[in-house]
Amino acid sequence: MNALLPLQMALGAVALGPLASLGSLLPRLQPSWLRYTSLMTSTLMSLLWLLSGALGLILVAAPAPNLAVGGIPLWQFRLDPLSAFFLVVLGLVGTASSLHAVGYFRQLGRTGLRRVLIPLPLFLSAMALLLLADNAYTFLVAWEGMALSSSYLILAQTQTIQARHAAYLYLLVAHLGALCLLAAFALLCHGNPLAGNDFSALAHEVLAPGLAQAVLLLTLLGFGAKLGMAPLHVWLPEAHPAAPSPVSALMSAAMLPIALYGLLRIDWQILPPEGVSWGLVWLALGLLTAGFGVLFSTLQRDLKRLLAYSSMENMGLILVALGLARLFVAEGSPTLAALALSAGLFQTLNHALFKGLLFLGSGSVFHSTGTVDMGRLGGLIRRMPQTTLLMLIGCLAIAGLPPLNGFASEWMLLQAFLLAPQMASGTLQAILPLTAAGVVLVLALASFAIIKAFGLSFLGQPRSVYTAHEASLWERLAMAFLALGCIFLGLVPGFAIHAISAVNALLLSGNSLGIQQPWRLTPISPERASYVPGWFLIGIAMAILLTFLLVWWRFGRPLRRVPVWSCGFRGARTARMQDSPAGFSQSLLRIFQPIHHGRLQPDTASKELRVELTDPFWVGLYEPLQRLALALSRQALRLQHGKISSYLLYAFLTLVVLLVLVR
Amino acid sequence: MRPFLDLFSLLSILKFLAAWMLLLSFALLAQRRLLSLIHLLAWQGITLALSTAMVAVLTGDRLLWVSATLTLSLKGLLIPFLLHRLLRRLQVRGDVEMSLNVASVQLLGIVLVIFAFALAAPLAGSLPAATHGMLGIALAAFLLAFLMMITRRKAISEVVGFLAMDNALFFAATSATLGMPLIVELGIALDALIAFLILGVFFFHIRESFENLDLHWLEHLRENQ
Repeated sequence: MNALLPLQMALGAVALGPLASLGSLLPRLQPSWLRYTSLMTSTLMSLLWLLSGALGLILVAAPAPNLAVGGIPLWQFRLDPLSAFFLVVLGLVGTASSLHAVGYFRQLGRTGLRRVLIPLPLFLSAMALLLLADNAYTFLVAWEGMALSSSYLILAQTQTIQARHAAYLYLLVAHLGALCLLAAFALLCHGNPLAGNDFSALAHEVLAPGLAQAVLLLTLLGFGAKLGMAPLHVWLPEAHPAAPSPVSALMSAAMLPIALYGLLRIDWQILPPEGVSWGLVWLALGLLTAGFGVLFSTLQRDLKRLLAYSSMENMGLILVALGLARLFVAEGSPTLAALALSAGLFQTLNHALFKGLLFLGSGSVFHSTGTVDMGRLGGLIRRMPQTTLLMLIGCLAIAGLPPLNGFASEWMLLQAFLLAPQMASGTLQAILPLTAAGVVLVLALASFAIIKAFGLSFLGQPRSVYTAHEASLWERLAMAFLALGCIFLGLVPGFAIHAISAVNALLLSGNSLGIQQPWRLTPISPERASYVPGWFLIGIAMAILLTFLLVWWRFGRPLRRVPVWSCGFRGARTARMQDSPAGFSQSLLRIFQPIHHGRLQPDTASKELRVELTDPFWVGLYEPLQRLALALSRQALRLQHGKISSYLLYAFLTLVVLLVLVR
Repeated sequence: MRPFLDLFSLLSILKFLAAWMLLLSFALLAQRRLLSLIHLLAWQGITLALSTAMVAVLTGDRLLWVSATLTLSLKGLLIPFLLHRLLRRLQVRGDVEMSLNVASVQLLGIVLVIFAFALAAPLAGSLPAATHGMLGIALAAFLLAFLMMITRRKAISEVVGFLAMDNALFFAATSATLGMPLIVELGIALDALIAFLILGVFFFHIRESFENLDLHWLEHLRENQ
């Protein structure tokens, strides 16, 4: 088979994106036609990427062939295992989101549809182009295309002042990040990013140590801004709830991992890990991001906001895994590095599946009830039984329960931490157990948050009066696709780890985990901490079946229907007697008070208590910066009198100075 | 065409016209009455036309005669006439307020002339030997017109300053480099006319809004008060 075929296939799909978005501009198209053709094209593109990514992972040709188009500027493309892995992630999420969008946007008219369907294929194409890029120019063009198209998508559903504020904040942070990346590439390419050096050529160049450190810092800031890394995360909880749900799913499950891809590509492949310091930085920032994200996620009332903070938590965990892998490389234990790296990448894949599923599900809930406010929802299990089942699978997966996929990757990450005492350095031996404890806390809080999300929205009784209907066939199809992925990777984790081993081999110069049996999760060796999810599933199913039969046989015959016990309260049970979002996480609100400064505020309109949180980074970092910028602007405003003669004077003085300078 | 005056006297006349131009610039800077400003501008236009004619005699370029005629009719007659009519229709009376007193402005003007000559000196090497001083004078006239725009407060005097700047540029083009393509000249002349027309309309609007042509009312238009 032609070695370039997967790359050509992926590029062909990239070219379909602009065509699809131009096609949406055709006049006199029926809205339904527009929706089907454009979104089916997006689905096709995503499936092609899924296929080419899978081919790229299986047909590992080292070095991967390169394709170049154009002269100056030169477009260069390559599909190596690292790109292929993230292309698979993009393909999975893209397929599901596009299918879901067919149902989700079914009530939009032509104008509303165009707001979505023009930027959406461009967004998908830009992400794929970024993964295929093989030089600085192509990479940066795709990066900016991704930021621009996604900021339009944030505004596609609502154009309220909050949504516009969110889109503006997102664009601002994205551009700051892009500036950092531009500077980093300028340093990497010796001031000439247009020179057309491909990434492997850049990897062979030797940078001065100071320059390399600067590049590492700039790329961490640039990709961190997109990743939602702790001080740069402010856009994330605003942008995700504002965007329509298929877009939120894409942004959370595909775009955030792409920032990880950039980090691996530049800070790992081009500048190979040396020394422990950057590993520790990644570890610390990852833990900060994860802890911060999960804490805020538990305290949210808005379902999508909760999920957005949870994405931040997952990205933090993956960053922890990558930092740990970096430390292991620096300490000279490649097997452990392979374990940590696999854990991080596996978590990326899993996060794409379950977070995509949860965001799509929240979209269906929004479409059906008109709200994602958990203080209004409740009892959806009776109105939307199938959606609830699919959401339950996603929730179990993200909570890290075996035998689903979330458990597999988190187990690998914890195993990597547990094996760390084998390392030589005494300092690391002291630091890593503490970090591991932090990670365990994060995982526990993440489960808490997701129980809150599921319990309040789907169980109990409705907290307000609303009409709800089951999600459309397209939406359920998309969610089922991702839910099946969660189950599949949970039951056959060895399959995923085997696929990831190609990426390991690329990044760790040939080192990888041992041979994997598909049905068994084997972190290091079969004797140590390995498990077979299939047996676990059978065991747990047997236990549940036996308990059910026992109870049914002992108490359940004949079936009796009695009123629900109302805790001794006389009179009617009302929906307000249930836990509220603020009540559910009250303990965390108190315990972590010094961090989030959360307060309970009475809301007179709805006679409820609402939690008001303060982002410490916003108060401590962004507000001083804002004040500084305003003060500087006020100084600059002094130049503006409104007097024509002084404006003329400025022009005159400029002219005189220039005349003096040029002579 | 055979020159009817010898080269030396032609150049002398040209230099005299240049000096006259500079003197008119100073007069514009010093003049406080609007009506006299317009007269001075007309004189400047006529001087410009004469100097273009001299260059035409000097180089024998027929197209420059067209240019000289255009300059005379446009800058010497039409625009001053229009300005004059505008003044009458707007019923502007009295003196021009200046933000600096006349003596200091004149002193500043002298500094500018010295500066302009200092700037022009290294450039003069690339010009024909006869016109060495011209570039300095043109630049000085330009800067003086700019200074005039800065120091005046009435809208009409700003326009006069703008037109004087245009005259100075024109003078630099014709006298210092001995003529330029007619098409460029036509373009510039048209630009000046259009700018004048737009500003004329603008005056009526300023007057309608503020009942005055004093520009300091425009300061209220800025964003933060």
